[in-house]
Amino acid sequence: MAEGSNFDYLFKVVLIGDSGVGKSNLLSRFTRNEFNLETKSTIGVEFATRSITVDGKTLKAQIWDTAGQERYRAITAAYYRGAVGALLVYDISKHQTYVNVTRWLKELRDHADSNIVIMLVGNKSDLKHLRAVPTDEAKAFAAENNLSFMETSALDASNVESAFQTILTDIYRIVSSKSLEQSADPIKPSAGDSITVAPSVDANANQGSKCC
Amino acid sequence: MTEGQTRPKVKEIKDAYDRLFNVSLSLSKIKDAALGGRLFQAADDAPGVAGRSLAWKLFLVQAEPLQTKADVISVSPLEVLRAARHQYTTLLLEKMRAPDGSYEEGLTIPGSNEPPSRAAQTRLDLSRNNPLSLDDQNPWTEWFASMELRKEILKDVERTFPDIGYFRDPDVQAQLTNILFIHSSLYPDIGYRQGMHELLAPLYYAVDYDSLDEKDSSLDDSNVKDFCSRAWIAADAWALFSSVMNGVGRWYEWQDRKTTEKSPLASHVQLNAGSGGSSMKPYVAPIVEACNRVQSTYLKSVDPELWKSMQNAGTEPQIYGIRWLRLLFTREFDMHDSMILWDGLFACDPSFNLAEWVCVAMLIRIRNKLIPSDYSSQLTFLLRYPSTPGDTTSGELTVHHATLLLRQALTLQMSPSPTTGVSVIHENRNLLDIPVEVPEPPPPPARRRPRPGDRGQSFSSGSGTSAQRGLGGRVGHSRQQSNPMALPEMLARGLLERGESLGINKTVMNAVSELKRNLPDLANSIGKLPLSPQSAYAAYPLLDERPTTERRSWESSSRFEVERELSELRKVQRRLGDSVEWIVDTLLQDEGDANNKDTIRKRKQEALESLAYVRDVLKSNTTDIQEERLIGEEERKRREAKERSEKEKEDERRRDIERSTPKLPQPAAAPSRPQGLVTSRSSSAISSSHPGIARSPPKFGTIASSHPSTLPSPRIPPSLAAPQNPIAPWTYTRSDFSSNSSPITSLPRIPPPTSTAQWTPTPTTPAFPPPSASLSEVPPNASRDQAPRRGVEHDPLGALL
Repeated sequence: MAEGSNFDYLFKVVLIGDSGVGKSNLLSRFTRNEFNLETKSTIGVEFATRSITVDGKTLKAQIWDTAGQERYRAITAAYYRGAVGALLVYDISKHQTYVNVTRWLKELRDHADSNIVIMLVGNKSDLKHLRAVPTDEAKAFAAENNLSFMETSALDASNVESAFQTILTDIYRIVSSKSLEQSADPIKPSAGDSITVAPSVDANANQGSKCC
Repeated sequence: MTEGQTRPKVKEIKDAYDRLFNVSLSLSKIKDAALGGRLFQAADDAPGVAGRSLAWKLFLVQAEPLQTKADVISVSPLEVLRAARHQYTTLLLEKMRAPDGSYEEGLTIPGSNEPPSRAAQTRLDLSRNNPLSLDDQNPWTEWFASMELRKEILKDVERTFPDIGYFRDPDVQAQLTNILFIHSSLYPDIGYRQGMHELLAPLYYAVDYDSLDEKDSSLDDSNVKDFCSRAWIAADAWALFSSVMNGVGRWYEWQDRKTTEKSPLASHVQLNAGSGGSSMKPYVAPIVEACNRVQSTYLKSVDPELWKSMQNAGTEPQIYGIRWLRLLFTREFDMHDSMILWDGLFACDPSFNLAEWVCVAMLIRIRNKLIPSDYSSQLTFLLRYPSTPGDTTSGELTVHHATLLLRQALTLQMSPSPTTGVSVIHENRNLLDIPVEVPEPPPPPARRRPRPGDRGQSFSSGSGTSAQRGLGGRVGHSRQQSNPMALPEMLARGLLERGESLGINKTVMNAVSELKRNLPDLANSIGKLPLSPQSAYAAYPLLDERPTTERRSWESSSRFEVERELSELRKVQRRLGDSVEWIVDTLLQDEGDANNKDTIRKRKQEALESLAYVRDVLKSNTTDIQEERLIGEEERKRREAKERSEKEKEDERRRDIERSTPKLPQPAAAPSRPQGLVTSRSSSAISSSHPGIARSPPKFGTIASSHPSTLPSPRIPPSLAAPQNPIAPWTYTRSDFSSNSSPITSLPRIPPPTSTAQWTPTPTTPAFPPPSASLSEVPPNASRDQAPRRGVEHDPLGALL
């Protein structure tokens, strides 16, 4: 645990999406380079960390994974607290999981920080013959909703690394520019320099006072 | 079970049956054996244990909970089981039937070898009852929904214990799905939740493992055959599962029953209970309550140190507790070990309250890993529960670690106290080789902790980190000076961080190991200890440790010291609370009455000063309280007088008793007491033994106006108090010492009172002695204390903070 504490930034990223879309395997592929065709369903929360380097800075990603069926009743607050990024995962071979993406977006809007960086991830891109969600459609949807987008396969490891790299770099860019403005808040003071994507309280307050 | 997989020999099952039902052991004996891990003598590597499901059936499937004799019920559990089998068949026929009366192909109804016959439908309204009808009441809609549910269940069933080949069998999977589907349709409020499948699977496996072919001719005991009938595996597993879910089901509950019915929204979308009506109580899932109980109540009461470290790290109990409890620990231990846990859990308590204590025992077992860890590492340990060290090191472990866990959970449940916690820790050392001493935490990143040299500036912050900084500021001071300064914010930051911030070898459990040697004796004596309610330390009778003076300054405080500090803190808090109560009362007085306006103003002024002092005490984390500053002059005198009169009455009473005792002929002599405590007045009061004559000053809040001239302390006119230079030491008010650049060590301390908290020992000393009078008594570094005081309204704190 000692070696894990050498980092410049700590980012909490959550994985969300329907049951069985491959969230746990994305996590294990990224953090341990493992893939299991038959993983147990996630109960409650799983959690793993990995550090990457961007611009000479060490970013430690604390990635949280939860059961797709979990309605978050029990862990909503704990799960989203301090999360600065979210990978919203669907299964390209199951259209319903893509349809439910809007529900998950709402869930994020309701419970996560409004500045959370979201990436839409179409997983299981290796199942080309079973594709049920066209790439272009998802890409357009992502653009519409201001999400970044990527198709991955935890099975053949394609794009997994780059999906996490992308979202972490995005977060890092936002945070490092915000921290210049002195508006960064630590997620948890005791856990190092963790930074939220600066919920700009001042801006909100100003807007509020204008309209009233 | 498919061919090639091994079941135990028929004889083994028969033997197990006989052991359970035909040896006339009382049920409680059997349960005891299950709890103690003595029920089965299993090879450690065997996947199943012969007879386990029989015991489970005995524990779980019971019609009457009050039966005590196993031999009496050797037939009756079979009866109960038969009833459950019948019920399952009925349910299966009902729930699996499509609206047109047909059944899915391949569905077999247990107990009969033929596929279920299509139920005779008397008349079908085809305009409504057909798969394509758009009618709202089309029964097919429900049917399709249940098909969806079955698919969802199957998705998890297919992923059940991927490493155990048995569960890859499609037939087993179909049965599991059926059982889960039946269960969730019986409890639509909860429905099917992920995790139930992993509770069911081991039950099903155990039943199948013990099952007997009824046509087997090598056995002629028809009761055994019936009890373990292979034809009824699914029904029996369902019966077991239902019983387990009676207790565990609440941990799967996830939404208020009422809102479920009302909510037309998808299950993902949760309505905030508060948004509808503000009076609605927010729904707290039972699992969250259970998890909070585990950490914030149970763990706190048995291992405060571990609780604090988890609290400091911000570890939320539901993060790990959900899985531990919902799956009954099958992901935390391997199958063999968790089944031992299950034996005990099933045997002892159908409500599974013990499971929460198992969580506590599990936390204590890995306390050495948790305490030095930060948030991430704590989560890692909790979500990937480490295997028990005793497992590997000593093969001849006298007690299995899972059994030990059960035993510890029971002990903790029975007496949730720090003493029990310590005994569990020592049990872990003796049996599992888990050291008592918490390892040193890894050196924290340097930037996170202010160096001692920084402390001048570091006091500027009033945030939660100030306690930590205060501790940092005390580096290098002797032990006497580094008295525990703690108030709630500090508890939050952690007494434990002190060791860390001092950078010293942590020997928190030092004294505890000494204690261990005396534990048997102590355990006996604890029960006999007279617990006097006045003693703040009464709750911690185990003060068997070296006195602080013998300890070298670099040694950290022991567990019991920490607890003592805590109790001291509580005392301080109570006193502060008393003070604030008086302040509020005073401030609320009506100024309208012209006669005593000035008096009231003065009093309010006093109250404000006391309030400022309370604030300072709270901010500076001191436990040394100057009693006389907590309340105003007048009120203090009143209380002292009352105290005295009570004391005198007490003395009088005692003397009366003494007088009545012929052996003690000296009636006038008061029990020896320090001279300073008994004033000359007391002797006069002694003469008046009637309570009516005893001094009873007017109650302050109501008749206070009758004492207009009782403010004797000299006051500095406000004009003199105006600050010339905000940093000059002489301009500090007494209330300033917690502000920006005043190190905490210069905090004025009067010697701690030798009497009890209520008794103020200095009735003759003015509350605010003039500088000249107090110079000789106050420690030299308290110079600011004698500075002229300014009014609270000039308090520079606001500007400096």
